[in-house]
Amino acid sequence: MSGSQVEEVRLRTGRPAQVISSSGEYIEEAPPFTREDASDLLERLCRHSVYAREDELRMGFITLDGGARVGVCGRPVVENGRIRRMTDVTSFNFRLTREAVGCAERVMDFVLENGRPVSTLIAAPPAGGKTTLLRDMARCLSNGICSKPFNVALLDERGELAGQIDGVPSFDVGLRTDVMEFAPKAEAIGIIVRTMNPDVILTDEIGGYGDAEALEEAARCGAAVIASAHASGCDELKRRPALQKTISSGVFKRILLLRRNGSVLHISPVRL
Amino acid sequence: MSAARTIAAISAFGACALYGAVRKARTKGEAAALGGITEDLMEAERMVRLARSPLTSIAGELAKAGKSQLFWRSIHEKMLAGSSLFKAYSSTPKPCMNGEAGQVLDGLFSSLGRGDAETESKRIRLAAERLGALFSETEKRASEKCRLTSSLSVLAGAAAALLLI
Repeated sequence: MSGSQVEEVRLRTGRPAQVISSSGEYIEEAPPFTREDASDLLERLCRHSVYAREDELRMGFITLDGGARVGVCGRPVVENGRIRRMTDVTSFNFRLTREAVGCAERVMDFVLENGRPVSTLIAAPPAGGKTTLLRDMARCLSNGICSKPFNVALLDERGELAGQIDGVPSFDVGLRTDVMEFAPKAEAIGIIVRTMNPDVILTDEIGGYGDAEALEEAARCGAAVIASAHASGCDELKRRPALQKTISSGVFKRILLLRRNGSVLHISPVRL
Repeated sequence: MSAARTIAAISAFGACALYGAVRKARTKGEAAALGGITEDLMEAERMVRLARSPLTSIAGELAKAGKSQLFWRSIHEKMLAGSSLFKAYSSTPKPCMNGEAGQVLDGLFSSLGRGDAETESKRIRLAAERLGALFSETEKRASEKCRLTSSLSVLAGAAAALLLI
């Protein structure tokens, strides 16, 4: 298994590592991952300051410099029915981020109407290529590839779309792209519409009612919204109440359904 | 009285006074180090509580504007190179302090960075408060000790000079 094919590395306490690539999975024949290893790894991932990453940990991930996301699982501390913080992390899922420059160019005609972007929802199952496509769409719209250039706002709630290090994106997200990181989408959309006057807003993994309302507000303000959501098809999208509400409200004019077969990405466009 | 005796008397007086001044400076230095690290820890606590700044950034800030800049600079450089706080602290020359103050610092630095913000801020605050109390005691003792050392060294010098004359 060559390094470039690896997509995920999963570590779980008491068990050996699991490596997932586009061609399949592989279980390491190494000693199991211990609780001490987990504690040490968490400390290192948090750069020896676990408290500084509490907000991310509470949402179940840590974003590394460069945009790679590490999903974590453990024993949350719950107060008033809400997760206050994550303790005793026992599982880690390293998702290796890949930049596929040019992958969005073949769908740009579909997301443009009269030379302007139209609101589009990208739907795919987990690890289906949503983030990679979204990132490249930001680059195309911002740099004027396949259209005139637009001011793009990238709402990067998990810090993996732009992968900023010290405020500079690790990935090519375009010359005219403003990035707002680690902010809850619903709030961030309102702020960015009022302050940055974007032509198009791109954001990852919508799904909550708060997101739906914020997207509707952005659309009313004249900004096109390109967002992604977890779903393997239109039926699944409609079974998610908040997404169904957003789709019914007419915010999105197009849907792009993604499906991956190994390293090949299949894109099925749907007009609403 | 010969010139040699006069020179010897002056030298004896000077040596005793110098010894007193050195002791005084050393005692004051210990108190100042303790006071400096206490202030730095209070600033670190604010940075954890209000901004949740990572330890590397805190060490960096204190290296620039703290009271014990050399200490924090060494820790900051080692942490930037990938060391944990404890490893960086262990291999850094400590500010001039020993006994209980040293133990308080060792205890704090051995596990800082692993808990949540509330716990870490509380731990830093408790350590700073303990060091602050030790600083007050040390300062009080130091001023008494300094007065005594100064007086004794001057008296000893005068006595030696008289004997030699």
